[in-house]
Amino acid sequence: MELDLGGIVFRVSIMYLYALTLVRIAGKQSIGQLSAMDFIVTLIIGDLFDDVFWAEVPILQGLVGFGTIILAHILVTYASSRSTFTHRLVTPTATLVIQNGKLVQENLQREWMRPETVQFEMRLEGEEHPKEIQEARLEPKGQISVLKAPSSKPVQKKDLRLFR
Amino acid sequence: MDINELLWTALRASFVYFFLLLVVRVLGKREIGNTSAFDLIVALILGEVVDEIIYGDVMILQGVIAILVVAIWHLVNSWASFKSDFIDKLTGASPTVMVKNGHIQQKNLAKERLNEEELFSELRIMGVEDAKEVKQATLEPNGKVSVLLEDWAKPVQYQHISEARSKTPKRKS
Repeated sequence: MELDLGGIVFRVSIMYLYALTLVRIAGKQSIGQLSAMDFIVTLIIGDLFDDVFWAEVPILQGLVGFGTIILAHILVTYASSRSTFTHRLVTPTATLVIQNGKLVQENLQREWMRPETVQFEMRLEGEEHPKEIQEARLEPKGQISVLKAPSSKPVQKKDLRLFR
Repeated sequence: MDINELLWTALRASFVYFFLLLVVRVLGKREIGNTSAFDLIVALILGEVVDEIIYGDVMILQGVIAILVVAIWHLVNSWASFKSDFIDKLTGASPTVMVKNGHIQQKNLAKERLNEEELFSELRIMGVEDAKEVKQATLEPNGKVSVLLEDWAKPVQYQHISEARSKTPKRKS
C-alpha cells in the first residue's frame, strides 16, 4: 500500500491556502455568526475538504466545488444586504416573545416555543421575572434578545443627576 | 478529469447551496438556532451530507431525499415537543440547578458529571468570584450556564437610585 504522505502534505497545503484566501475575500460577515446559513456554509466548507486530502476527488474539483459554494454565499449575502426583499426572503424576522412584562402567547404558538424555553433564555440574560422585561425577541439566529424595563436597567451616568 | 466534470461540480454545488438555503429557511430560527445540543447535531448532519452530492458520489435525488428526511423529522420533533410535555421531557434536556442561594448543589453536579472546578470556571466567565453572590446558577438545556445574582450582589438599577433618592433629604442649593 502506498502511503502518499508527500501528496497529502501537498493537497492539504493547497486547500488550506485556498480556503484562507477565499474566506478572507468573503469577509468576516459572510462566514461569521450572523445567520443559520453562515453556520451551514462553514460546515459545508469543512466537509468538502477531506475528500481532496485523501485524493478521493481531484484537487481541481475540490477547488471548483468550494469556490462555487463561497461565491453563491457571497452573492446571496450581498443581495440581502442591498435589498430588503431579498433579506426577508433568506432570513426570518425577529418575533416578539415578551412585551411589557407579559409573554406574547400567540407568537409563542407560532414559533412552537415553550414558555420554559423563554424562561431559560431569560435566565441566561440574568433575568428572573418577565415583569422586569420590556421587550424580548426571538432573533433570526435563534437566541433571545432582552430589553429591560427602564426601572430595571443598570444605572447610567446620566441618572446620577437625580442626586444633584 | 475533463472540463465537463468541473462544470457539473459547479452546477451541483450551486444547486446544493440554494436547496440548503431553502431548507434552513423553512426550518426557521428555532430549529437551526442554538437552543439545544441536538439542533447543533442536525446542523452538522446537513453540512456533512453535501460533499458526496457535490462531487457526484451520490445522485442529486438521493442527496435531496436524505436532506429532506432529516429536515422533516426535525420539524416533527420540534412540533411534538411543543405540543406534548411527555415528548418534551423525553427528547429535550431539563435545566439543572447547580448553585442555590449561595450553596453548591453537589448532587446535581454529580448528576451532570460536572466538576466543581468547571462550575467555578463558568461562574468566573460570568464575572462572579464567590458562589455566595449567586442566588441560582443553572445548567440550561442548551448547555450554557445561567447565573442569577442575589439581590445585594446585583449591579445598581435605576429603580434603586430613585428609591435611594426619595429617602435622602434634599440638599439645599
